[in-house]
Amino acid sequence: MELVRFSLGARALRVAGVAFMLAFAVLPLLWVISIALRPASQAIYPISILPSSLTLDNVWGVLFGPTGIGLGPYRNAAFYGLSSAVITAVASTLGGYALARYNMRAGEGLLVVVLALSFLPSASRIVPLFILFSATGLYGTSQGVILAYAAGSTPLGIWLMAGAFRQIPVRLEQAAHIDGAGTVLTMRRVVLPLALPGILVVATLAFIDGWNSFSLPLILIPKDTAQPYTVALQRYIQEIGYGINWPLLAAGSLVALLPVLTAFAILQRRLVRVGGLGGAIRG
Amino acid sequence: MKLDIEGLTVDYGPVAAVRELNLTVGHGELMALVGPSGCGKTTTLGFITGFIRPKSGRVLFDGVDVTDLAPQRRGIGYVFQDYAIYPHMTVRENIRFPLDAAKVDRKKAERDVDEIAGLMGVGNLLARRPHQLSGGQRQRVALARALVKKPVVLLLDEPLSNLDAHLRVEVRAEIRRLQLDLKMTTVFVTHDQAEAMAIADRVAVMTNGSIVALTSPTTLYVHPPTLFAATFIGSPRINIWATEGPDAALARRIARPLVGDDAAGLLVGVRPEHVRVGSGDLTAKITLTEPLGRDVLAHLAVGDSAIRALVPAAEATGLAVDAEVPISIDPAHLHLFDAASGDRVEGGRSPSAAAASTNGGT
Amino acid sequence: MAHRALGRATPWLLLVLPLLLLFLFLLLPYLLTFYYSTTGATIGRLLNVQQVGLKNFQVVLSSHAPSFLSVVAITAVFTTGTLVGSLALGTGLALALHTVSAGLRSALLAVFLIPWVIAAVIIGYTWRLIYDPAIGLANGALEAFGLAPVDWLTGQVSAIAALIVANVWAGYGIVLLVVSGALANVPPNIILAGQVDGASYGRIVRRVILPAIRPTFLLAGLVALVSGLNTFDLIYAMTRGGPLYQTETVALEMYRLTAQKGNVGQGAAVTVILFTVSLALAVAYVIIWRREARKWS
Repeated sequence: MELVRFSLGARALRVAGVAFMLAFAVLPLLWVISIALRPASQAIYPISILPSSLTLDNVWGVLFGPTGIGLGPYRNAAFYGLSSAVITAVASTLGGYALARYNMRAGEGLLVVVLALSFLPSASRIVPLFILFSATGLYGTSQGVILAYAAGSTPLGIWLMAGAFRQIPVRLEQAAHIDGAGTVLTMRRVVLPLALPGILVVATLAFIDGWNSFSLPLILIPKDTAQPYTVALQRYIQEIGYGINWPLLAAGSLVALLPVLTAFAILQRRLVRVGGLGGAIRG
Repeated sequence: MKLDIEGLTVDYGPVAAVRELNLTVGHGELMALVGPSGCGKTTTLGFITGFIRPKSGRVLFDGVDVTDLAPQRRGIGYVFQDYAIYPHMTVRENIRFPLDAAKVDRKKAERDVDEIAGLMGVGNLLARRPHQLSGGQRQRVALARALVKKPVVLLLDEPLSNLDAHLRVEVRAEIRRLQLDLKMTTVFVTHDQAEAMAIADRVAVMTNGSIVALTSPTTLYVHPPTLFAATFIGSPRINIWATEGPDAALARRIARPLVGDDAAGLLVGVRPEHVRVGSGDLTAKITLTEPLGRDVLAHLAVGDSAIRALVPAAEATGLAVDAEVPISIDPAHLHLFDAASGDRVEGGRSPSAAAASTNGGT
Repeated sequence: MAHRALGRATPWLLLVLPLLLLFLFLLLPYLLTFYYSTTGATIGRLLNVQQVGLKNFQVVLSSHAPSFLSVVAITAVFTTGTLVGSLALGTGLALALHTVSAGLRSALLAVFLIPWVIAAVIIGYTWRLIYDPAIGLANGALEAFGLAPVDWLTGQVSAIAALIVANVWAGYGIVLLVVSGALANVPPNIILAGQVDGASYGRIVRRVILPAIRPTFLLAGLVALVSGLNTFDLIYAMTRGGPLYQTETVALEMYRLTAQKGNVGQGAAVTVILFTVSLALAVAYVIIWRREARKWS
């Protein structure tokens, strides 16, 4: 049974609209990939829509070539992202469990405050963190950056984990206690395995946020070798004249896209479900 | 308006929800579609409304084929099972919505709303919002909204299921009175046979996507055309015994006055209220009594066969479990069905049994 | 028993780690910023700073290159454009997909959500490439239709328009996701009832569906608004606020004053302004959200 019976004209309009939006959504990415994978000599005016040949030279060039940024920035981004993911997962699980299981009136208020904080995008934190880190010696350290990332991802993580824990009936823990299991065992064998999907979502979102972060490392990591790819790729835009090296920049972007697109493809169903539960917004 | 459905077939995947259904509802008639869940009655209603596209079939309003017409243009009044009144609008706005959609002049629309609200008894609720209304009130609002546009046909999907039991009897009578006053062609769908029987002009009994009986309530009760109709209509349920199998002895004995010894391949039925307890040449043992207030439902056993009998309370004082009582059944109240096809058999001969020429004593 | 006492304290014990993390790296920085906005701190001199009261705010608000008024105007245009664009596209698409089969809808949603996982700065580089006057897709398309190429990122109007398109591309997916979720919770029967009542689809959307998702719609709108106000990465990657401050928004100004000009006090002042406006909006939407949600119980 159809929810709305559309006329043929309306149907056609809808198909056209969705098709246009699909094109809008996909073309920019395809264009970047196209520039990244075509020989640099073909990336000049006038440009052809389809490249006549494909090559991995640009990818090789940005990763290993003399004018590339190397693997370092990607390693850095991965390191910061994964570390943040771990810390966020731990903090969110602890916080989420506390809020879900214990009736704290302060807890409800806390949850709302925490959630409101998470809606303030990271841009508004760059100056504050800069000041804090400079005054406390955390400036330029990877620990500082990782903790800054984690603090940004934790509010939403707590909210999500609280939701996940609420879906695990307390009865299961009570049954485990009755069966003689101590707190640690109950957590390890009963609660955490059931909360694992939620933890994975939280960790993945935190990793993505960390991997994608630009403004924080821009201001907090001065040293070239410790910067993530987001900052490192900038070098191709320092234009003196028309000096934008598009092939390498596009290739660098392509490499950056691979991990997140893969993670997204694997977890998209869960992310969509989680995201629809109340507007998970990345700053 | 006269409503016709021709050759309706609807598939849900591999399953046929409705098969080759034909139905005519006369002008001003109240037709009930009744049957168990999944029998296709709501699907049929959805087809009349225009939400369900069939594999094949047509629907005609006064002879005009409206099958391809959008639901918006059919002028139908529909009351959903959950009423589906707009939660964010006041009662007044709800009832006025169809008139707004038809771009009726606002002043006239408000007058129409007041009129129908008065008729439905919700005139004092017009400023309220749905969440402030009781179930019964919501239903009236839904009805008012359906009727305000003076529809050509009124369709009701299980209108009484969400109401408290005692309200159901009152509300069904109100619906019937309203329908008669307005001379409104109405189709209503229900799984409750008592409702269907109480207020419909004709009842269509459906099962597995087809209509198996289509007739007046009285006929349905007194002369059910099929086994399914006989067992579906009437509560407590009709007694049925097969002349082959574990109840054969009882079945043949009861049917003998009608068919003599030529009782092969038959199903014998008698309604519990027609089992006379207290006199007769058959002896049964009482296994359970259920006092229902006005009557007592007595569960009896003859040998291994079970009989249900409905006894008026006044006559049931002596009945106790394990007591043995005489019972009799007037052959005039027997129903006979062919065991293979389920069709009613008149005159006592089972068409699918061998046609032996023993004379039946009809 | 210690057991008991521990029981009552347990939730707070569990919360120590997360609360500490949030306090130190989320709350404290903001508090410090408020303090520093009233000091004459610079990058070279962060401790032992002297109080200057509201002088930083004065200087910032009356600055000339760029004038704060123009910064605010650019921010307002950019944010409004992003808000309207992502709400319109996200909601329109959600409505279009609402009546599509669940499997197809999931697949399409996944595609439309891809920008959500891409770094904003990468999105910036991508669109900068598209707007490149020589080899970009934008001018390529114009030429295919016989129109003259445009130097997108060098004129103020075209640059801001280009930024809005890029930001809408980045943001409509989340509006789509949230509104889709809300649409799925609209009782289907009232949409059927609307059709039976003779309403056209447009009327049903206006008077039945959209009112039914109002709380979520408002939430999505306000989040898009706050997000638009704070957009930094994308603009930095595409124009750096140029040319000549013609796309300099408040967020970029905040960064420039702190990291480029080195005047931490002024940067903090702008941060305070931005933060206050964003927080006011955040509080506003929590209030409106709760009020709307209560109307429906």
